Amino acid sequence: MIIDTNKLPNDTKEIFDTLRNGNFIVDNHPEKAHRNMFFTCDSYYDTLLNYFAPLGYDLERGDGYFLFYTQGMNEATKEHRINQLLNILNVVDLLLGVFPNFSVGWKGSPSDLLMSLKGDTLRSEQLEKMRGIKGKTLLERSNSVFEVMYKYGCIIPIEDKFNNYIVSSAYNYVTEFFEAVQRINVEDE
Amino acid sequence: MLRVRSVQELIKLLNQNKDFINTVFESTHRQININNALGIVENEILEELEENNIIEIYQNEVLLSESFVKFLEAHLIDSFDEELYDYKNIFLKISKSIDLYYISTESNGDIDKHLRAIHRHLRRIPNNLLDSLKSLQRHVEFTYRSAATNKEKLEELKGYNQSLDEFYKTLDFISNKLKEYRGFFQTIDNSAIEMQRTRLGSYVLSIRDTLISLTQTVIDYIKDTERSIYFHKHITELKELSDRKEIRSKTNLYDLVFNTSKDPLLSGFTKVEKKNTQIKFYPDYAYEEEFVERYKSNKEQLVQTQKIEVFSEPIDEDYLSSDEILIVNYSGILYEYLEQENYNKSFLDYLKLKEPELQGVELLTAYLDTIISNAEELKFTEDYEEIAGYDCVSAYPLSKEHEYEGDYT
Repeated sequence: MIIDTNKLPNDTKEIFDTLRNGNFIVDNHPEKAHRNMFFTCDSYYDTLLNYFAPLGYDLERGDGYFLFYTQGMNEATKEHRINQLLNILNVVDLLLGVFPNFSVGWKGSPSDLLMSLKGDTLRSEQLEKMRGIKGKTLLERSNSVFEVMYKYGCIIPIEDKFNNYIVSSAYNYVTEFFEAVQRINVEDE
Repeated sequence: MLRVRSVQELIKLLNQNKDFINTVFESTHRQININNALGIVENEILEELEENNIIEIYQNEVLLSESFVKFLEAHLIDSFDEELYDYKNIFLKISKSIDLYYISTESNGDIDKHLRAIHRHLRRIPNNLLDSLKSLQRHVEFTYRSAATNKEKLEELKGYNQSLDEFYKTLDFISNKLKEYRGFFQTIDNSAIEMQRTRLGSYVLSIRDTLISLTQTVIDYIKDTERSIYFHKHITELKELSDRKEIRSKTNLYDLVFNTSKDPLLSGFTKVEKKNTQIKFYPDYAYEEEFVERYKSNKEQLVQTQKIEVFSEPIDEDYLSSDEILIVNYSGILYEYLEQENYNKSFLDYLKLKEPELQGVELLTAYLDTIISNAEELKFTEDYEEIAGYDCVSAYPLSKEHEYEGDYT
């Protein structure tokens, strides 16, 4: 494949480093520089796709996000990935239960979660038992929920005075994945 | 109940603390942490607002009082009142005024009185229509952003969808009535009424356009809400299966992860770290290297090339604008060659096939640079191939050595 490197955008290096480190590039990131990377990916999609492909990285476009796909992931890593997905399943179930409007663009903070859980014994107990969540107090565990979502790239701190986070377009990846998970062997039940 | 003594006092209180109240109103569940609140207003102000039942302080949270929120919703959101805008009744009055106008004309009565009435009614309609539209817009947005549950939201949005249908009918009704009275308007030749009639006609057209986009918004919101309801239900079911350790046997989750040729490279979801390869990632550097390579391959410009320091000085962009230079990634061609696993064809043959215009010293430089840069990927044989009078070592894919041996030893 012949690549004309003259046609590569200036922020190719930043885009590559961001994606190669296992991050999303999203269209609603609070930082303008990051949003610019998204628009670069969008505008130069074919060029970047062809440039990264020989390196073993497939640039994939999602609903408001870009990420790298790669080959050769071993079974242990895939098992680990499933565990991580089950953790995020628990967290998303909790957040959707507490915040019905939780979706891309939603803003909130751990203290919002804490306040909502104070009057909700059922979900408070759910959080107490949730695996992958650290902390002894409800506040610590609420913070941990947001940290987990941040680790997955689904939320991004806004850095305002209320410690708010915004749900990034990367959350669309999570919804698309879980929507693809369907029941099988139903006749056995 | 609000405890302010008068509307003026309420307005003054709200005006003095509008930033703070706005912040709380727009935050999730209309509440903020008390420390955050104290970052915006003094403690005394909080006490005053709490005393007047504008806010409530519960544990460490400051929230707008329920009575104040209801008050705001009642006056800001729920001001829409269909009865005030009964267009059928308004046009009945216009129709009656038209009849009285004709009667007055025949009896030499006060025709201006009836024309003034018609003018007044026509003048009111556009603002009323705008109020109705804005009210509906506010309802839709408020419901979509703030409804407590998705089911409530869905019901409300479907209700608004019906309201929008009614509003379309109202606009059609007004348009038809204006057409019906066209003869009368032309007969009286009254510029003030004609101006109001034209104004109303343009408002109807403009509002109809806005209504179309609002209807689409409502439809989109309904779809989003339905999808959200379905998704939450789906997630809850999956979680229950996960809790019962049945997600492996009763869903295709494992298939989705294991039976794929490609996997997402996400630090949160995996631990995979792919080693960096030797291929150039930095476009600036890559560009400069290719730039120098290109110049090296041209004897006439060799002297100039030696002055170019790779990685040190930026390339003069004048070179680019004055010369049409195609920068070709020869390593890319090599990788394409290696992917084909053709052990009988040398890389030089493949390069000539892909770049037929590449000849002489230019070909020699490109070939040598590429095979030396990627020596670890190639197997070199003792056969030589001639390029521009020089004998060059032949290069083949690294693996399956027996195939070389069969042909070349």
